[in-house]
Amino acid sequence: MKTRRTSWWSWLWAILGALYFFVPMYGTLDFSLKMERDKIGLLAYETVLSDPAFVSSFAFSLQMAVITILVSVALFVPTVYWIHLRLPKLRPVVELITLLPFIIPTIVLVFGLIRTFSRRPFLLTLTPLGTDVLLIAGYVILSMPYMYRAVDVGLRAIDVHTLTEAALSLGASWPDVILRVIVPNLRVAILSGALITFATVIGELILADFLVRPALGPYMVVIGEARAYEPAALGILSFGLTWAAMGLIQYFARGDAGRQLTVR
Amino acid sequence: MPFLQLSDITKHFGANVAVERFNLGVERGEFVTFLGPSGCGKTTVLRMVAGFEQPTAGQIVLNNRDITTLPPNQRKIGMVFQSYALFPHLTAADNVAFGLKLTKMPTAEIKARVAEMLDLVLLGKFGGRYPYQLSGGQQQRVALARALALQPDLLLLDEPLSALDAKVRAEVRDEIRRIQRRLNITTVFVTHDQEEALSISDRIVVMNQGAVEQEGPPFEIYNYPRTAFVAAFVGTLNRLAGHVVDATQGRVRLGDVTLQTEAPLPHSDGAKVTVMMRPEELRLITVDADVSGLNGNVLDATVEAISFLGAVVRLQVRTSLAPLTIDVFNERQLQLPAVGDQRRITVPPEACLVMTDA
Ligand SMILES: Nc1ncnc2c1ncn2[C@@H]1O[C@H](COP(=O)(O)OP(=O)(O)O)[C@@H](O)[C@H]1O
Ligand SMILES: [Mg+2]
Repeated sequence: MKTRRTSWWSWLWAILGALYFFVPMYGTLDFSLKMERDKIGLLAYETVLSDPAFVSSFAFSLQMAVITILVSVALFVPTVYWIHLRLPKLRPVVELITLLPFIIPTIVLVFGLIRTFSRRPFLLTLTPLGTDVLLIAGYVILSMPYMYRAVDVGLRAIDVHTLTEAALSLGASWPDVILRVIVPNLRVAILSGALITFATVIGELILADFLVRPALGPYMVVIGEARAYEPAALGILSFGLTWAAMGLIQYFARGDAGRQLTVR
Repeated sequence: MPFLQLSDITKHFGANVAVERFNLGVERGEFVTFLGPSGCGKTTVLRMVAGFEQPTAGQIVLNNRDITTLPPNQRKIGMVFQSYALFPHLTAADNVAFGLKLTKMPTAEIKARVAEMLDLVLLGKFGGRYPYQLSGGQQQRVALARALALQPDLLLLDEPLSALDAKVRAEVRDEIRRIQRRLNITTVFVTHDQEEALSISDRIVVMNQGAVEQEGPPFEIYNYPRTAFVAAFVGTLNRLAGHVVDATQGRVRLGDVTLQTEAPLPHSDGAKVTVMMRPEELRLITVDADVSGLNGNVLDATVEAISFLGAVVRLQVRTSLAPLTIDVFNERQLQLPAVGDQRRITVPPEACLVMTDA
């Protein structure tokens, strides 16, 4: 009797949760399909996708996302690996540091970046390239909690010490150890960190806005103020993109690589 | 100078002394085993030889080269770990090829060497399998092939059999020894299992609290332990407390019995000693058997338990001194006593190891 009632309640909550999530989604989707009067169609999507400003801002954000991912992988994989190997006592401290982006508002971060790096000797905000460097640095910080955690979890799943020693005794150098042993065994972890970073960068508004870079976030705000149907279509598109990313994580985590990580 | 020479190796971890003035020479082609209880420093010594730990003091020379401070990836030392430590993302063949690919060896040659090594460990058909598709014993054999593929000067194995179950353990153990003989590779093997050490080694180094307690061939370690620690750690033992009554005659008093031992004792009369006897050296005889000429080395005993172990039958008996364990070789004509039967035990003088109490 008792278990039946629990399952009834859990169903209720699951349905309420799903409604909370899907009703606005459905509303948005429905709205985005009705740009033409009395007709269901993809006009809003066509308009968005053919807008040169959308294409260029999306391309820009895509570039930034890829570079951010490369930088944070290059930064975090060796760092977190070294902490696991040699400085395990530092782990709680580092964990706290990686949580800072959740605590410090992005607006504070971006003002800090601008105030520090627009001065001599950096003068980074003088050129688009310099500003992009700042932007990417900011993105790396914003995605740090995810990337750090993904790599940390991946490293916990393998015997870092013994694998390192096995590789060293076979004549591997430190770069060999990282590139030929650690990175291949972190494929899934790095991929999931990368996809979350991607989603973070693509949707980010404040950094790009204050640094005045032509990213997707500011574009969406502008179009949201000026238009009605197109923002809805954009919202659905970015949902789709995020879900595709999630799906990819799931797919890779379940494949051969995932099994090698979990079965040891 | 021996092929591998460890001189006064010492290792401190903070205030904890893990290894203290450890000295050892290993000849080329020799199979040496470190045997000792958990925490006695076996792994630490091995890791210093491999280069994963830096000695606090002392020197390590391998093949006439001082390697004390050399990084591990330049030592040409193969290592096999208890946890196999195969690279999970590589097949067995790629694991074996890992070290070879880091050298400038041509691909065809690598392929040939990998095949040769997998054949050597009897896994020729398993090259395409990933570690998770192999059993523990197979994984450890791949790990061995991987360590040997680079033709290292020295092979180190740290409890490589501990994670395997009994039957596989014996198989892989024999395999390791066969391959070691075939390649004539100098090997240091670590274990806390005395049976493993006795069966596989040319020479055993018994360790206690970070230092060498005794070293020698298995036969010598087992039959002529020089300290109570070695005697107790290697094999099963009966221990009886007593004191020396006549050192020059080698006579020891245990309770109401005086035992004649083999030789004059280095102790003074009255010294407290422990007499140790291997279960297989005691003889069980019937109560009415002729005991003249046995110097009184006879104890009355009541059989309390019998366990059949296959090749031997182990008896637990009660005597006026203490409970004793006796091993009798199994044969079909063996007349086993029953529990509760009265018997006598004879103690050959040469079976008595007399140790000073610590
Ligand atoms: N990295 C380390 N830090 C501190 N103490 C250690 C470390 N490694 C080993 N020890 C200590 O050194 C002693 C010997 O350990 P070990 O060589 O692993 O023993 P064994 O392999 O014989 O079981 C133990 O007391 C252990 O606690
Ligand atoms: Mg150990």
